[in-house]
Amino acid sequence: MGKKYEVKPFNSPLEESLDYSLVADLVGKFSPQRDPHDEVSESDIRHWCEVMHDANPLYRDTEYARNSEYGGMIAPPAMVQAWSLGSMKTALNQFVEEKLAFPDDPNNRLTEQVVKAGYTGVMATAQVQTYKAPIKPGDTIYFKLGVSQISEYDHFTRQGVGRYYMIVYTFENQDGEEVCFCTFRVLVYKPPASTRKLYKG
Amino acid sequence: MGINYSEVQNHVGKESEAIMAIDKVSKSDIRHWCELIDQDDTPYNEIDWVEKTVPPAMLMVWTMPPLWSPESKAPTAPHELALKVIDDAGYDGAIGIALDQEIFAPVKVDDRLSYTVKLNGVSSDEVQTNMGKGYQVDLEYKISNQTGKMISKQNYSLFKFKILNPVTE
Repeated sequence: MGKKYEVKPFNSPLEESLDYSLVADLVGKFSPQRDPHDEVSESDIRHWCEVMHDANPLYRDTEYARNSEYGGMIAPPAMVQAWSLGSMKTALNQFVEEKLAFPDDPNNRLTEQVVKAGYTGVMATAQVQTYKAPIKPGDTIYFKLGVSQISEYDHFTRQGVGRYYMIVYTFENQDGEEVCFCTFRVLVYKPPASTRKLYKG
Repeated sequence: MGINYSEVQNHVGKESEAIMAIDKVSKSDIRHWCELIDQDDTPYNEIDWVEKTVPPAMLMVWTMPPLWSPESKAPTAPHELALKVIDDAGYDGAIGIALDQEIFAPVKVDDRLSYTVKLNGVSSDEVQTNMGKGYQVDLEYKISNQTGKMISKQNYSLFKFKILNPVTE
C-alpha cells in the first residue's frame, strides 16, 4: 500500500533519467521486412472511402481510372498503413496481454528502455508520409520500420519531462518499389506526480 | 394514425430486379470476419483458399448496401418503396426480428453475387410491442452467383416502429 503512492515530485533532480548510451545503438537500426495480412483489395478501398466520405473517382470508378494517368484504379495513399496493420489478435496481445509480436524490433527495444527509465507517458506528436508510387488493388505492401533519432537529453514539455524519438517506416510493393516513406515522432514523458498518482491510485 | 395500407399493398408480392453486390467476395473481408468471430490471425498466404469455403453466414455481407455513396439513390425496388412509405409515416425505427437462411451452394473467393428482394407482406395493422407500435415487413432474398446459380434463399422479417423516445439534437 505504501509503495503504491511512493512517487517522486515532478521535475526532481533526484529522478533518474534515461541513459542515452543504452539506446544509442538502436539509432539507424531497422526491423526485418514484415509481411502484410492481405493484398490491397477493392472492397477495403470502398469501405475506407465510405467512412471518409471520399468521392474521388480514382478510388471507385474503374472506367474513369482507366483513362487517367494511373491507367487503373488506385488506393487512397493515406491507406498505406491499413495494408500493413497487424491482425486484431496481435493488437489484443500487445495492448491487453502485453505480449509483443516482434520484441526485438528496434522500436520495441527502445520502448522497453524508456519505460524502464520511468518515461511511462507516450504521445504521438507528428507523422509525415511521403507517397512515392501509387498503390493498386492486388498489390502486396511490405514494410519495415526503424529508429532514426532519439533525444540525447530530456526536454521540458507541458506533458512532463520527456524524450522525443523518431520512428521511420518504409513501405514497398511486391516489385520492391518504395511506395511510401513515413516518419513518426513520438514523445515519451514522465507524467507529473499528480497524474501518476491518478494512474497508480 | 397508421400508414396508408393500400399504398404499401401495391408493392406486396413484387420482386426487385437483380441487384449486383458492389464488390467481389474478397479474402481480406473474410479474414476480418474470421478475426472477429474466431480471433483467428492466420495470414491469408497460409490459408488454402481453394479448399476453404467462405463462411456461409457472410452472405449478407457481400450483398450489403453501401454505408455512404456520393450519388443519392432514389428508392426504386418494391421493398424500398414500401419501406419509404412506412418511414415517411414516422415508423423510422427498424429491428430485424427473424432470418431464415437456406443455403444451396458454397460461395467461393472472387465470386460476384447478385440478389433480388421480394416484398412478401406487411402486417395489415399496427402491432403493439415493447419497442413501440409498428409494422412487420417480410422480405424474401434470393442470392445468386455470377453464373446464375442460386446460392441462397432467405426470409427476413423486420419490424418498423415509432421510436418511443427519439434522441433529438
